This record gives sequence, C-alpha cells and structure tokens, in this order.
Amino acid sequence: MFWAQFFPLLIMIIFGMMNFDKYASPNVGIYDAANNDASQALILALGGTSDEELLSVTTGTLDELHNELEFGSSRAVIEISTNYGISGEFAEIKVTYDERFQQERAVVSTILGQVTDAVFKEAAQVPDEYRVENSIGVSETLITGQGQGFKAWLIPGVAAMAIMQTGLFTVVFTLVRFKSEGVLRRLKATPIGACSLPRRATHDKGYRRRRANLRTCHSGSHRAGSKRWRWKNRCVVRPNDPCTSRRSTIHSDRSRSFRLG
Amino acid sequence: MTNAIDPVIVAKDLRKKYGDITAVNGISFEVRPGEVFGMLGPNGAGKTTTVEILEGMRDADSGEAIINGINVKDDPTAVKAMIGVQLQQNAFFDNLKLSEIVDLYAKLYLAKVDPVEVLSRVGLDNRKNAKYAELSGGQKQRLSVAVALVNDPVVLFLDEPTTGLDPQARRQLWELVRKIQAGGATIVLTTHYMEEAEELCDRIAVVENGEIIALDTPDALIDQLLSTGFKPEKRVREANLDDVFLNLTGHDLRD
Repeated sequence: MFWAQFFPLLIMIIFGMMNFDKYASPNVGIYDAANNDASQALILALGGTSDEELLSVTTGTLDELHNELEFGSSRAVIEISTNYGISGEFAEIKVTYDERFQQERAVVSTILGQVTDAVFKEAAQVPDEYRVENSIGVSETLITGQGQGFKAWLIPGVAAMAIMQTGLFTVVFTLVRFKSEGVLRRLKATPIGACSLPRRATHDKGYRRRRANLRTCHSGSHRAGSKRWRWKNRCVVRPNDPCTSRRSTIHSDRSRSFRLG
Repeated sequence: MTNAIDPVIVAKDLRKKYGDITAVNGISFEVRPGEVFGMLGPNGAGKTTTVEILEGMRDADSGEAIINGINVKDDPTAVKAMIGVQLQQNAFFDNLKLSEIVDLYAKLYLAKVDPVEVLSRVGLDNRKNAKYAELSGGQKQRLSVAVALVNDPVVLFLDEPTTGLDPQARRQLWELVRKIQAGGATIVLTTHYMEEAEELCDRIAVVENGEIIALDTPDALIDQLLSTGFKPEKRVREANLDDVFLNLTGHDLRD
C-alpha cells in the first residue's frame, strides 16, 4: 500500500519541490596574477550582480585552483596574466576547462567573452569600430579531471531505480496473490490489524494490554472448581490460556450480579 | 447450572445485505459453553455470513453479536484473539513448511505452542517438514483445523470442515471435534452432511434464506418430524454405503 500509492506521491512531491529550472552558476577558480584595479574589476564583473549571479568565483593559488578543477569541485580555472590592465600591452587570460563538462565550459566561455568585451570597451573608452580585439586574448586549455563525472551519479541512480521498481512490483504482486488466494482473508481472522502485519510477531502493546485484561476470577458466586476469567469488569468463561495464566491475580469481585450479553 | 444461563455466543437479530440480496435476515440464537452448535442449510442460505459476522470478519448491518461477553463490533481484536477460525476456503503461505505455518499463526496470536504437538492433534506431525503446496486436499483441511487450535480457543468456528474429505479423514476429524469439545471449547460448525450434524452436534439450527427455520437438538427435530406423521419412504438399512466403503478400505487415514 505504502510503496504502491504513497511512495510515488512522496517522490513526486520531493522532486516537485526541487527547482531544476534554477540557473546554478558554475564554480570557477580565478588566479589573479595582476592584482590591480582593472583585474579586480574584471573578477567582480565575472561574479555578476547579487540579482544575477554569473559565475561562482573562488580565488586562491594556481595549484589549489587546478587541484579543485582536477577533482571536480570547480569547472574552470581562469588565470589573469600580470600585465592585465596595463594599457597598450597584450594581456592573455588563460582558461582551463574540464573536458567532461562541456555545458559548463560553454557557459563560462560565453560569460568570459562578453565580460571581457564589456570591460575592454569601458576601460579603453573607444568607440566600437576602433576596438582592438586582441589586446585581451583568451586561450583555452582542456584537461580531463579525475573521478567519475556524470557516470558517478547516473549509474547508481539507474541501479537504485531498478531495485526500487523490483521491490515495488514484488510487494504489490505478492499482496495481490495473497489476496486472490485467500491468505489475507485467513490473516484477517487473526487478531492482527492490517497495518500491524509486519510488527505483529514481535510486539503489539495494545494487544498485550487487552490480553492483560484477562484475569482469573475468584468471585464466590461461581460453582466451585469451574474456571472463570475476568475480562475488564465482566466475568467470562475462559479455558486454559498459556498467555494469561501466568498473570493470574486474586482481586475482589465488585460486580457480583453480572449478566452476559 | 451456571452454564445454562451464560451463553458463550449470543446472536441478536443479525441482519446483513449485499446490495439487493439479503444474506442474513434477522438471525438470533445463543450457544452455551461446551456445546457443539451446528448450522445447516443449503448453499447461499447465509450460514457463512452469519459465522463471519460472529468471527468479526464482517460487520452486520444491524443486530448484535456477543462472544464470551464481548461485543464483536466493539472489540473485534479481542474476540479474534480468543476464537479459533477455520474458513471455508483456506489458504496459507505455499512455500512454508507446516511447522512454520503453525509457528507463524501461533505468533500472530501471541501464543507459545509446540508446532509438532499441534500438528499431531490432526495427524500431520509426520508431515511437519512438508510444504503447504505439497499437501492433499484433506491434509490442507486438517492443517487449517490445526492452525485454528493454536490459541487454545474458547470458541472454535468450523466452516464446512469436512467438505472434500474422504470418509476416513472425515471420521478422524469428527474424533478431533469431540476431543476439542471434551477440552472445554465451544464449537460452531456449518456443514452439508446430515450424518455429520447428527453425529457431532448438540443442537442444530437450520438456516434458509437468511433465517433460522428450526433450532433444536437433532433428536428433538427428528421427533418433531415423526410426530407430524412423516414416514421415510424406505426403511433404513442397518448399514449404509459409508459403512461399506469403510469396511472395504479400512479406517486408516490416507494421505
């Protein structure tokens, strides 16, 4: 019941609440060798505004950043050369991508292209027609990082879904078979509740409490030697019961004039 | 006798409808402790529905069913805990051994039993390691009676327990019923076999169209019929075909 009806609903709700449409800005490590006003302006521009984040920028040493790229925690390393922002000099921006993440590569590449264009125009304050394209050059390098990439989550995902489906169908078909054969009907005749099927064999407090209500009755109103049991406040006939006989207690009979039925 | 005043089963004006069909139309009776109470009637007369209402497996549209002082509608679990049930169509887990089935059902009733001892009551102890699917029809029937006995029931409901059994197995089951009765349990039995009712039952209710049309001891019912001047067409012979069959094939139980 749970797996067949509520579990799919649960999954739908969980996945519905995840927002897949949201743009997740790629992690990019930037090594700023120039470390001047111009390069800091460029980094700020790449980060985007608080309303619209372009890239998620981290800074650090070149080794650290390449290490992050190698092991998949960032998608690109942008290295700004020392002569960036010095007028008249050709500044090269070296970008390293992980070839496994082509989509992120395209995103970073596009953003970088547009931002450098805009920065150049602003810094040089020249009309478009006089723009010198190559005073900032972007060079790209591709590396293959370590780890499994998208296979790392696709394969366990497929395996998990296969197991889930098998489990789901097995449970459903078994229950249907039990129902059609009449096994469930026989179980209905036992004191277990439909919901407590799996836990019944171990414990059920309510049932034990009800069993505990059965006690031997020692009121004087019965024929000597006849076995009487008390159920709550009533006196009932009850033959030997291994479950309750060990609980038998003597207690006074408050309602002597009892009636059955 | 206190037994005479305190019925263990009370059915008060039970009614049950399935759509337009009235299955049970105002059935009332009382069963005394230690009694074997038989319900006879043609197919579809409402015997099984009545029994199932008493077992707490169906809700009556109206009326009251009280087992051992407990109203079945109020606390069906408590009632189910102290009755033994043998259904008309029994099914158990095909791939479990008999001892495992008995053990499982004992656990469902929170009773501690020795499965082999329970199986030996119905003569199945030699088959304790067989799987349910491997049993013959009669053995399955006997297993279902054994399972009904795991909780040492106050009231045992047997719904057509000997249908499909050979005469040997049927006699063995009668013997078992008498033994259970001697142990102090009350038994409600439905059957189509008149000789079975005559043999086992202390009182008989004849059910027709959801109503009880006669309720008395088998002897009294026969006497009533004879008092109306009824004469059977043929004089009953000293033996019947059942006896012939048993004489030829023996009383030993077959598997």
